[in-house]
Amino acid sequence: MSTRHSIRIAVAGAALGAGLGAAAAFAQAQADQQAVVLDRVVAVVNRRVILASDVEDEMRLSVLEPNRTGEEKPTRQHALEQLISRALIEQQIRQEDAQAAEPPPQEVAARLHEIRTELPACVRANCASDEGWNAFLAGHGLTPQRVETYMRHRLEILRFIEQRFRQGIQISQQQIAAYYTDTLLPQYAPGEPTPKLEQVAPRIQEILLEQQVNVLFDDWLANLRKQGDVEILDPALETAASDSTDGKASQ
Amino acid sequence: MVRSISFEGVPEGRLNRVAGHLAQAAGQPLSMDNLRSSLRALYATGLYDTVEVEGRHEPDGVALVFRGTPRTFIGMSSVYGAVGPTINTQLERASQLTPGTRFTQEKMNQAFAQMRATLAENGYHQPTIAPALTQHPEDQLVDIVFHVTSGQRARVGKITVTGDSGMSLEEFRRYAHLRSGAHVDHDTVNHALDGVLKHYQSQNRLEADVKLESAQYDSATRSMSYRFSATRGPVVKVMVDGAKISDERIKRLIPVYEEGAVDEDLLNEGNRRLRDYYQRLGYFDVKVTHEQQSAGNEQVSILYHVELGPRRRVEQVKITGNYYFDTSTLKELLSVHAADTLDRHGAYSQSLVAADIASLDAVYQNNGFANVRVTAATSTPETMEDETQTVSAGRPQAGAKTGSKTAPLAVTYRIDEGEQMRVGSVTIEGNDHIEASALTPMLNTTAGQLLSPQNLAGDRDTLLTAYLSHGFDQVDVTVRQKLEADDPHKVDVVFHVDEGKQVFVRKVLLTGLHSTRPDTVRRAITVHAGDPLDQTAILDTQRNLYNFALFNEVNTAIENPAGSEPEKTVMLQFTEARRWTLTYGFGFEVQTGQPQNNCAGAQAGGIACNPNGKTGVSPRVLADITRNSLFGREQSASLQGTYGLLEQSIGLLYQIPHFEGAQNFGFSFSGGYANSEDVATYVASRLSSGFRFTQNFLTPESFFSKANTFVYELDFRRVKVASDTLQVYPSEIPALATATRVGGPSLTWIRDTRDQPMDARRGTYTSFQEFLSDRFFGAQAEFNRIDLTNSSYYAFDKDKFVLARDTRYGQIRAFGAGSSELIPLPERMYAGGPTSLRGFPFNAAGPRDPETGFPIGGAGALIESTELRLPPPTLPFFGNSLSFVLFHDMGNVFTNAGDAWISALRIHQPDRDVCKILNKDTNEGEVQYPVPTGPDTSTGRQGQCSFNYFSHAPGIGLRYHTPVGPIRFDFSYNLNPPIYPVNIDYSRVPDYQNPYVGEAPHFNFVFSLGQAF
Repeated sequence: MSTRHSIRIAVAGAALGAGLGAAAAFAQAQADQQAVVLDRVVAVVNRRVILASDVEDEMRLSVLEPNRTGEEKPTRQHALEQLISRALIEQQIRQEDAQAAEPPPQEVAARLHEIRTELPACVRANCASDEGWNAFLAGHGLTPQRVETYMRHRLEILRFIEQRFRQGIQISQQQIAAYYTDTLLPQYAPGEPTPKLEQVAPRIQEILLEQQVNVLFDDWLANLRKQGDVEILDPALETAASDSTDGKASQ
Repeated sequence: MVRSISFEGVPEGRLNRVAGHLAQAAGQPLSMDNLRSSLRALYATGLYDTVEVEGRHEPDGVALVFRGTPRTFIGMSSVYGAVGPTINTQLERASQLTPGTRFTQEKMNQAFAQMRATLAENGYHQPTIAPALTQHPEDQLVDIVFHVTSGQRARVGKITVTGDSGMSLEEFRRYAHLRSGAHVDHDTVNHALDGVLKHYQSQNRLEADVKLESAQYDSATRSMSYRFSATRGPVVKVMVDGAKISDERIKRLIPVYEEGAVDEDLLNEGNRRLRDYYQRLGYFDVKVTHEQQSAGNEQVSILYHVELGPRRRVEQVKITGNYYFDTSTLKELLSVHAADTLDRHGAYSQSLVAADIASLDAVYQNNGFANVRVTAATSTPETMEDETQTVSAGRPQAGAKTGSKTAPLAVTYRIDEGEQMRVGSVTIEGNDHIEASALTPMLNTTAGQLLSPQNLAGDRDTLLTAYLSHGFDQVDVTVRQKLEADDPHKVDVVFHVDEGKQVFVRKVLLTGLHSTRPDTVRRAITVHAGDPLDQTAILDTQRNLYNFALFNEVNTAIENPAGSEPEKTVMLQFTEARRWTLTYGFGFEVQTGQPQNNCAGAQAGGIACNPNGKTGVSPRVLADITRNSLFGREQSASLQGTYGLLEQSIGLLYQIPHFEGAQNFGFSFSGGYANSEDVATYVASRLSSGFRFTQNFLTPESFFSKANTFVYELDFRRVKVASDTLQVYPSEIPALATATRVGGPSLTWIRDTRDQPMDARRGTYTSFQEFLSDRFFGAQAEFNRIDLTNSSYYAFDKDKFVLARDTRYGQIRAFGAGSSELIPLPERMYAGGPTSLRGFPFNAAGPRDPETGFPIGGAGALIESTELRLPPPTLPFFGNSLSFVLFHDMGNVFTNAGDAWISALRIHQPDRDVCKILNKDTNEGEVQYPVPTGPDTSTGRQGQCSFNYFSHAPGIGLRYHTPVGPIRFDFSYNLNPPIYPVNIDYSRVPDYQNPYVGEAPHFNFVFSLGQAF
């Protein structure tokens, strides 16, 4: 897994197969001759609206998260937090007119291929074949087009972060040596052979770089949220959101 | 299938324009994507706080209901009750409750906090703030009124000072103006800091640091305890070496004194100011550096090193390579200029040269020379060094090598114009809602014209304004230029318009009108429901409403400014002015020849009186009480009174500034009584009334320009001269002392193009007044009066000098028979004094009574005044506020209107010897008063002494400029004052025994306000 994929960020897609849950509820209501709420506004991020159906969609897309274990879905509150963070970042991308962040189609395709061949749930569903992949997505209320859009947005955000934060960070030899001495070596049992500094220096540099990007990114996102106008209209989601200490998805 | 769509929550009708444009429409299949888009669109209108869509199954399809909590917006926000003249306004601002924006509880909480903080700053720490909210659900508005009870004001309590202040606590309190027990106000802390810093600065401790560390309120004692830190820092001494300069000038030039601080930026600014100073003296190559030296903690020395270099003068400024513009046009743009008689060294510096290059570059760029290159070359011949130059006081004295004589310097600007670019084609694109044929004529950029960046920027603004006035408040215009492929000297210009959404006015909401009728203000409102939301119209409306003078404030706001709803409510919020206003004032003039108001006429002699008046002060007080907004309309009634030595009056004035709502028509009625003593010869009383229509020309399509005003009047007055004050020969007294009714129509035309009426520099002022007093209107004196004045102003030499001139011509022609032909004394023409002929005492020019020598006015007047207003020199104490004026006044008042022109070339009083013929009573017994000879005229019998000549008076004046106009002191010398016989002097007993020849004074002065014209 490349470094950029381990950066903890919120990436989520807009719902395409939206309203599946609501549609099902409506079908039930139809039978019962009752009125049912089909959709509603649950949050607003700098005038950008997040609907209840967006949250549902986000929860369905979580099946593609590589770090997901088991079959349990993320909570609605968690999904909303991801959507809020993603909205803030996307607004910033538009504001800075960061066209270079747009990923080339090959990169999107490569990432999709990686999911189809490496995501455990997908491997079990034989996603390597088109039939298996389509069936897997349909089982989760998704379509290939929706997933591709989701992936393109996700990669766009990753590239933006890469451009914005990674460039300019300098990792010195002293920092690498300090990590080697203070963090890596203590992990080896006494007497166990340890790798030489020259061998692991590139990997340590990657780790330190990743750590610094994460710190910068976390601060930046926290600032965006603080300065922006984020309003959660659903009280249930708001309580959960305010309890959340980290609004960003992690993997 | 969706069978119906309805909306709940937002007032009915408010979503009419939105409903038809939602993605999910009735009659179409239910689509979740469309529902989502519709929800987003509805929320984006800004009308909902929350919104959801509900579906209900019906036999033939689905019924959708969009339901939500309506958003509330701030209506009018006001604060009452706080103690202090401006504190309610301060609190309104502090609350930051902007009308039209969304109302939230968070904003209210913030408003409370901010208002409490503001009150605390003003010394009120225990206020109560009670809000009252009035909901207007039909408009989704809430009006907020805060009732504030300020509570008791805090007083200054304990003061603590830390740091090396170098003073006792008592001294600190004194310098900080922190008297124990004094009330705390908004400025207490700032005054304290400023006061202490000022003290340190007076000791040259320019690095002193004084801070407020904490301020604590003690509710038990209602006092504020302040904790300051004060560090006095070292004494700063600024010295200059390499050139002589006074300490005073150092203090003026080096900004550390002005700022009371020392930092590198200020020291560098000192370098620049010193350099500029010496460059103005001709040391164009001067170099200034500085260094800072510390001598322990007690003193810091800042030493400026000045290397003067040779002293030069700019011999020549040349421009070469210019073909398109002539040299004189370009030289107007330059700051560098050659030496001349007024500026012995000229002006030159590197920064001036750089600024000149930028100016030349800009003017060429704006005329299509996109590739212009401007360079400057300075030629400096070898400096002569034959002797050491000594510079007069205040100027640098060379201890170092300086040029013995000013060495010539020539500056040459070389211009490589390059090819001139022209506009190939002009296209407007993206203009879906406004035809190009309507937009194109507004543009200055046209095909074939020179390519001008300035025009392009101006045209972009023009298009933006045009779109804004059509309700496109999100419009953006970008200008694209492209070189033509087949002609590299032509550029195709495209104005790309991104229109955005057009917004319309839903309604115009008026709030805050209590005593003013809505109909009154409606006439001024140029924005109407259904119109595009025109920002220009809203500003016009605001301006029109301010013109009513009925309101202290007129605020405009758009409800829900951030929302995307296509119709917006325009809010006009009024704060009405007080209905009663009382104004009062005081004025005075000092002058020679002031009429004496204690002169007694023939009936009571004994008080010394002079036909030329006396030197004196004429003070006056004025008061005016006005009832505004009469009957809730734009009307007012006022009672005005003046009491002074020269005039006492009381009058009633009823005004309608915009008659029947017309913007350009005003009406007024006036009536009153006045007692005037402004002519030495008599005291007059006047009972008057008049109707007046005033017409202005405000619209561009008017035949006359905005500078013109017409006044149509019908005036009636009864004038009377008190017989016991009359200083004319006895047999004339009965006729002149008779009360006379004057009445008739009057027309006045005024054309005023002056840039600033109080102290004009350019423009003209013309007035023409025609008044007919006729028996038809009940008049007892019949005459026709014309009064014409024309002034013009010319600023020259970069507006430093102003040449001003003023001509007045007046004539009265009587046409009645018998007694109605005699023009009453107060209706005659007079001149003399501060605003007319300064060579004469007040109203003392022209004909005089042939026996008493007192001025009796005339039937014609011709006066010409010319002034050269000089630029203000820089003087100690006064700075630039004093200036001088050279003037020449000439003219006179004449017995007959026809005498005026023929007298213009006459500079000596005609038949002067005749005026020296005196007579006295030679009879025994009863006095036989003389009766003058000569023909009867409309101004009475004049005798043989003539005043038909032009009097000339040059003079010098002083002007002290203030924000409300100059204070004036004029001194004049009359070259040819008239003489006149005084046979009868009522102030002597006997009055017809001591004749003498009187003469108007040569010297006259006036002290007054405002320019003479």
